[in-house]
Amino acid sequence: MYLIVEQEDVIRIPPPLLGEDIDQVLEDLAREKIEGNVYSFPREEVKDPAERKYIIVLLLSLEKVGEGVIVPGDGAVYQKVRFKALAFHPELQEVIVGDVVDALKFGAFIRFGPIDGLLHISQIMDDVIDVDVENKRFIGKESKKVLRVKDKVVARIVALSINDANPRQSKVGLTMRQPGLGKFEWIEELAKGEKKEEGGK
Amino acid sequence: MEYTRFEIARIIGARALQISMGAPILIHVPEDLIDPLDIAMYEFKKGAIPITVKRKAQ
Amino acid sequence: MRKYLTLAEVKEILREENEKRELNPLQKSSLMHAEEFARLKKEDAEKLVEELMQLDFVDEKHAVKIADVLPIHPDQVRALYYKEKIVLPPEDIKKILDIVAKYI
Repeated sequence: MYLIVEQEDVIRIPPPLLGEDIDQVLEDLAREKIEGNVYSFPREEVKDPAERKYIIVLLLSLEKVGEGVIVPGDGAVYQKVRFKALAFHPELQEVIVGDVVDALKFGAFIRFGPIDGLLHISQIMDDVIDVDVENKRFIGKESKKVLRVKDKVVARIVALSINDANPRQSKVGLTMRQPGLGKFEWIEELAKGEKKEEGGK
Repeated sequence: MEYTRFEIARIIGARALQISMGAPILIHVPEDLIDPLDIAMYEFKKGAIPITVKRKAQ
Repeated sequence: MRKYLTLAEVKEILREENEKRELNPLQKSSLMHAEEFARLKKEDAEKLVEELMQLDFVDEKHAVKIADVLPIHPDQVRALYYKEKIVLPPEDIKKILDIVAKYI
């Protein structure tokens, strides 16, 4: 889920930019480096390495820590910064809400934030699934339940591998084959059905 | 702060590298100064280099 | 420091940013998702989180998640607490559902 984090990093300021307004230059460079970048929580805080990583979505505030340093072999200034940012941190077993953005023969892609997850056909429902690739939809053979593009779903994260270099290429595996998960309409129907039962007693 | 000759070499070296990489020159220098190293030495002589030395605490 | 945000809050933050500058693809995707799924207004979402946290078995993280998912069925609440390996008694689940129902 989304959270606000505080984190430190070092920003390289190339020599040609040293003449300009340094705070503005630093903010632009930091935004470019930090947004979309993957950071990790410390080992002591999060035990499972798969869950340690989070993606920075948006830089909220930035401050310099100490003076910039020039290291041997490079004329650039390295400035340590401390920043606050909006981050996206998916966890294993986390329940997410998302919509179906694409339907392929092996499953559906669900967008649940800055990244997409894969809902494999075997994980859509407790039923044999017919895939209708042309119309981009999945149909349950017995239940006749249909899942198509743009449908809103509740799903659970069951596999997680964040790609440091390119977060959009991260692999997230999802399931809807558990009670309480599935398409919004399925859950609404279930809730409605139970209410009726109660009233009938 | 009095610099040692090693520190002076490091400051001028770093500054010359910056200039060669395209950093803006901070004071007016004679037109015949072309070599980044010469410019850096000139800047140092005029006290115009915005670099300080951080000495390790004893 | 860690502070969890509801989708309603994320939507507001990204919308404001969108007016100031062009968003990158990651931010665009986040904003589109938040606009689709932030079903409560920011103020209502905050109120709901506060009210949920007054129940002693709901912490901030779960309160925020509940405000995002807006469960209408007991199974959904159980699904949210699956990872904690604690089983909420039916009356506690009902308390959560009753509070959520006031907001939808």
